[in-house]
Amino acid sequence: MNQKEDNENRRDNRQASKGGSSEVQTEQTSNDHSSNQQGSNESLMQTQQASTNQSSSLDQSGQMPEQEKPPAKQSVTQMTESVFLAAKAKNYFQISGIISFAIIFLMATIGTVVLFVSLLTLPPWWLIVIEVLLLAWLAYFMISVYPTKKYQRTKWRFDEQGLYIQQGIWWRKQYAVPRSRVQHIDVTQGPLQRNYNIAQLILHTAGTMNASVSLTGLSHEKAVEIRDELLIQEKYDAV
Amino acid sequence: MTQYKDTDMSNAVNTEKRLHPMSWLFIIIEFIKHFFVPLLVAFFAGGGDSYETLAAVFVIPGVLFAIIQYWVYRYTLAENEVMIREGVLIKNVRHVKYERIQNLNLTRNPLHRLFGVAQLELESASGGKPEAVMRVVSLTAVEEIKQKVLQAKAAVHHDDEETDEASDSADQRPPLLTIPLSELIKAGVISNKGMLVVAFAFGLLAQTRALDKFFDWLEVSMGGWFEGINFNMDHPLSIATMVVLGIIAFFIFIRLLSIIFMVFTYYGFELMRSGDKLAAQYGLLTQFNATVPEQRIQMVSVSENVLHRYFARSSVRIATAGGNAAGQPGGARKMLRWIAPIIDSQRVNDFLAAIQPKVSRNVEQWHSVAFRGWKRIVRAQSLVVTIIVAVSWFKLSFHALWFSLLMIWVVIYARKTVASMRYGFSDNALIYQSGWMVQHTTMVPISKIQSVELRENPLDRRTKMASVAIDLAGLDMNRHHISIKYLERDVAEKLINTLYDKVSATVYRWK
Repeated sequence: MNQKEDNENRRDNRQASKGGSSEVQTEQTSNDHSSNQQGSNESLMQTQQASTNQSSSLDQSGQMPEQEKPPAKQSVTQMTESVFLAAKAKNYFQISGIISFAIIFLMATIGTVVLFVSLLTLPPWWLIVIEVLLLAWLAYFMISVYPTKKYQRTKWRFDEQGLYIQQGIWWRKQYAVPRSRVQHIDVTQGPLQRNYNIAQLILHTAGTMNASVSLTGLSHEKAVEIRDELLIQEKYDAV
Repeated sequence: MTQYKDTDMSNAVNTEKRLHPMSWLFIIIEFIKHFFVPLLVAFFAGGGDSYETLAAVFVIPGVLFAIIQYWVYRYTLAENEVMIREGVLIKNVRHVKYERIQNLNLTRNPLHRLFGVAQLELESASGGKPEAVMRVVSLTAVEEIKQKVLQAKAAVHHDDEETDEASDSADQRPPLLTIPLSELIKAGVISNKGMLVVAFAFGLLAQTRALDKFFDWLEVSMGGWFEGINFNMDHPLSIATMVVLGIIAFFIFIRLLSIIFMVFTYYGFELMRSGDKLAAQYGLLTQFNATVPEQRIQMVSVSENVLHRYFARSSVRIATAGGNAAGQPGGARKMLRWIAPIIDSQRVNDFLAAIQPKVSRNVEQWHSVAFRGWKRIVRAQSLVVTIIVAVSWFKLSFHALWFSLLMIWVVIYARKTVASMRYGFSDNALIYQSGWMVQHTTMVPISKIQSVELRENPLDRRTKMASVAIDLAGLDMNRHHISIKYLERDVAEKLINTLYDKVSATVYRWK
């Protein structure tokens, strides 16, 4: 972009404005890419086209990296270590433990009452003690031990490779689901889970025994982040 | 609504086609197969009184159903899709793109052949049921549909691959595998398929109370055969003799059934390659035609039992995506699973190279599992032996202790089995071998692996072991697949990571 050409440009612009197209002029003067313009109106139009093309491609290249690595998603992709579920997942597991226990407690109580009413006798005291002790132990287990263990044993990692999950207390399992094998993704949230802002992420693959791999206890934002990122990648896969 | 339908009809009327006029017959037969066998069994077993009522309640509506079904079933071969309309109350229109059709399965039993028709199944990769079952169409119609599908396939492949020119001239090439009758008889002797027939027959007989009569007859005639020999049924030796004789007789019976089964199923077996597809054709009475695109093969498994090895033969099985027929009623739907029901063991390598030329099977380094795993098998099996001894104690008292000799067998079996398990990576596949009496080698291209799993059950954790399993499309869990047990914990951890890296680096392709 030497001086001479620049001067020529200005002259061209003036000529163009004389020709009546003031729109072109204003656009052109504000544009820095008009370096290889010739004398005529025709070439002016050509270069303008070229410059708009250039700027549009710039736009694209400006958008592309943004789509690939949106700032919000970087936190997920850059995971190197497996992490625990959302802190509130533990509370959620406890609440669901309490609900399950409540159901068992109700059934046990009703069962006992119905049994002894139908037998028309009072239950022996030791049976009541055993039942209460059993239920107490079950309550302790279902509300305290199991949710804590479950939380401690569940870890996940989502990175460039895909989703890696480890879970299970007695039967421990680790799943590795590569990104390219994910067919579709579900993020679900039950009413109770909504209360704790927790979601269940389900990855579906074309496999058989692990056709869907699910992870309950991610924060809803995280689950959506992962889903969105997999969706973007799917879009690029398709192209 | 009606107006729309009318215009639609008038547009399509010149291209819309019906099934073969004899279709109603085959629809009735299918109807009877699915709903009537249990009913008839119950009916005859119950003693046939209300013959007419049964006919009035089930047969007449069945026939009507079949005729209506034939009447409403139409298909249109459009430019790039097949459109199928069916249904009376609930109308159903289905569009299937030719390029999405993965498999064309053709079945012809003697009745089909009498009328010059075939049952055609169109399969996509979706798994479960086929996209369309045409029961039945004429052979010219089959050819027409086949042409459409093949043309669409060729067009798609010419778009993204230039190497497909061979597909037209391929039919002249010699078949990959043909199985003569002598080989089929061998296959029958080797295989255990007779068990299936026996199980089926027993199931049927048990329902019709014929089984009791059969056993009565057996008892009477056995009494006749063994009159001369004085059996004291309380003596363990005579029990043992009876058991051995019974097992031998049963074995021969099973083998005979197996031979019949193999000859009927695989008579005239021919496997050919045309382009990137494998086409197989077989069957004595019911002929079966199947095409499988090579890309759709998810897994190849070679198995050899003791008899296989005696005859120097092998069997090769494949798993294909979307073709898991498990849970299909009556096993009515067949598919190409045994791509080589029997093959000379020497030829296996060439054969595998021919069906999957792009998959390498050279393993540089094999890895074995933790040998101490055999102790776990022994521990589990000793429980079984204990139960056998305990149960037979009632009958044999202290003689039952002889059964504890089974433990010798258990130890040998456990050690040999664990020693036989090994896995290794080729350039683009994972290969797993296991089995002592029955040896299996299963090969899975890395790109076909869907996900990887590491499992640790409580026993694994006590012995610091773990197992690694890989998941595939169309995996048959009841048969040999890659699920490597008795790995050292850290080895398993490394293996799942290696697999994860390798799988992530590849792309899965349906076609």
